[in-house]
Amino acid sequence: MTRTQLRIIGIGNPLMGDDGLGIAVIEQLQQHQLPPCVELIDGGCGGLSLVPLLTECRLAIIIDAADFGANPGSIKTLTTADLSQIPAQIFRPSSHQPGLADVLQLLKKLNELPQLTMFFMQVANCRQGYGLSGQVRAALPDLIAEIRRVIPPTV
Amino acid sequence: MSQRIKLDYLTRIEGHAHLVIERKAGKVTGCRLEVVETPRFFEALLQGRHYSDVATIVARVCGVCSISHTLASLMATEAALKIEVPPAAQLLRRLLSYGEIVQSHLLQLYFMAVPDYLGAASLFQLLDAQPELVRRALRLKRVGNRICEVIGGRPIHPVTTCLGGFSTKPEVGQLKQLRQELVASLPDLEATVELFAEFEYPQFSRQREAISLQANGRYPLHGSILTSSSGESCSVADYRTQIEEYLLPHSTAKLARSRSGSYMVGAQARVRNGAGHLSPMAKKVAEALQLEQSGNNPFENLKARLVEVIHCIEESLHVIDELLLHGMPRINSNSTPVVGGSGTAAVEAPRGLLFHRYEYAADGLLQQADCVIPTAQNLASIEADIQLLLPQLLDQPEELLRQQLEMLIRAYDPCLSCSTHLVKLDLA
Repeated sequence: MTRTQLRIIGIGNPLMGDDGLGIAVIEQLQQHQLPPCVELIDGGCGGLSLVPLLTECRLAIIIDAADFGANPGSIKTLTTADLSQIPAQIFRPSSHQPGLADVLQLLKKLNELPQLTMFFMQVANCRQGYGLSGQVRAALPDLIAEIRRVIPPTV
Repeated sequence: MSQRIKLDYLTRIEGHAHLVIERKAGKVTGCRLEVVETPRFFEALLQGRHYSDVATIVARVCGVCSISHTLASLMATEAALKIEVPPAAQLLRRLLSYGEIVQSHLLQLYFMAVPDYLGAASLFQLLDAQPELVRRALRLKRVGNRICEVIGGRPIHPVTTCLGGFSTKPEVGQLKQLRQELVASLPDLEATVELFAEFEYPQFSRQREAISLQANGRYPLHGSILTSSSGESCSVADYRTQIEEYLLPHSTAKLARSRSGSYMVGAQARVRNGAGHLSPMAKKVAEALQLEQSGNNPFENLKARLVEVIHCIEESLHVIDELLLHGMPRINSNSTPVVGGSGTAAVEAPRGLLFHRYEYAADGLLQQADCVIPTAQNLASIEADIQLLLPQLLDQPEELLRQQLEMLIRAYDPCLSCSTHLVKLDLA
C-alpha cells in the first residue's frame, strides 16, 4: 500500500458545539495553499476508522477538541514522544468507543504509529448545537498558524 | 427481601446505558435498560434548514452509521421533492451501503463480540496473545472503509453523495483496484468464518416478530415496502400504521413497538425475512455456521452479521462488475425539484431499519422531521429477552450474571449515540 506523506486529520462532531473544532479547522485549511504532499481529512467521530488513515502515512497531524482545564481556546501541542505522558483525561470521552486514546495505544503496540503531532484546543462547551463558541472561533486563526508552522514545505 | 442490581456503563456498546434489575424473594420484579447517552436533538436542529443542507447535518448524527443516515435523508428529501435517481447512482448507493454494513458488522464482531467468546476484556487485551487476529480485524475493517473512500470520495464522511445521486463518479482504475482488494480479503473472511464457527453460542429462545424491508428480488437494503415475519406488509410511507413510537420515563431514548408489541430489526431480522436472496457464498456460510432459521435466539445475530458481511462483499463485486461493464452514463438527476410536501424513506442500516420522514414548506425549508433509528426499535426486545433470561441466571455470582447480560445486550449491537427524540422527563 502506498504511503501518503502527510495527513492532517480533524476529529469531532459539529453538532456538539466546540466538539466540532477539528472539522472546522479542516474546512478552513481547505482554503489555504498547502504543499501537494498534504492530505486533509475530515475524521468525523474517528474511532477505529482512523487506524488505516494513520498507518498509511509517514507524518500525521491530529486536531481534536479537549478539556484540560485551561482557558477556552488555549492550545496544547503533543508529539509521538509525549504519548506515554498524555493524561487520559485530555482525550474527550468518545460517544463511539474505542476513542482516539485507544487507537493510538493500539497503533503503538502494533509498531505502526506515524510521526505524530497532535493539537488539542480547550473547549468552552460541547452541548448540542451547531457551531463553535465565540472563544474557540476567535482562537482558530492561532491554531491554524501553529499547524501551518509544523507543515514542512516538502515531506 | 428485595434487591437491586445495577450494571453501570455497560461496556463495549456504542453510547452508554445502565441496566437496572429489581428482584424480590428470588423473583424478578423489574428490569429496565436506562439509556444515558447525551441526548442529540438533531430533529430540532433540522427544523428551518433548507432541503439542500439537511443530509449534510444528518451525516453527523452518528459516526458509525453516517452513510445510512445520509442515504435515508437524501431518499426522504427526494421522495418529498419528486427527484428521480438514475440507475447508476442507485448502484453506487448500494455499494456505499454495503461498505458501511461490512465495516460496522466487522467492528461489532471483532471488537465487541470476539472478546466475549475468547474470554478477554477487550480486543486490545488479545494483542499479545493473538496479534494476527487483531491485525486481521483491522485489515478487514479497512475493506469497508475503502468502499466508502472510493465511492464516497472520503474514507469517513462521504462527500460525493447529493440529492439526485452523486456529484462525482469513481474512476474506472479505482473501481478495479477496489475489486482486487475485495477479492484479496476473502482469505481473511474465511478465517473469520472459521473463528466464529468454533464459538459456543448461548442457548436461548423467545418468539419474536422480525421487521425489515421487503426482499424485492434482492436481499433487503433499500426499498419502499416493509415486511414482517408475521406476514404483514405495508408501504414505507405508511410506517406509522405499523410502528408506534413511545417514551418511557427511565430512558432518554424513544422506543418503538409494532401492533404485536416488541419486535426485532437488524441482521437477524433481514436474514429471517430475506434468506432466499442471500448471495451464494453467504448461503454457504450460513450453513457452515449452522445459522438457526427461527430467528428466536438473539445470540445468533453474530452469525447473521457475518453472513451479511460475506453477502455484502460478494454483492459489491457484482455491482462493481456492472458499473465497469455498463459505465456510468449518468449519476445525477436531471429532474427539477418540486418544492414542498412530505417524503419518507427507509434503509437497512447495519443495525436495522432506519426511517427518515420530512415535511417541507413551499420555500424549501424543513418544517418537521421524524427519524426512527434501529436501536430504538430493538430496545423493547432487549428488555423482554432480559426478563426471560434473568430467572435462569439469578443464582449465579454477580460477575457471571453481568457477563451473560452484557453479552445478550451486545448481541443486538445497540447504538445509543443517535437515539433521537431524547426528551428529558422530570418526574419530581
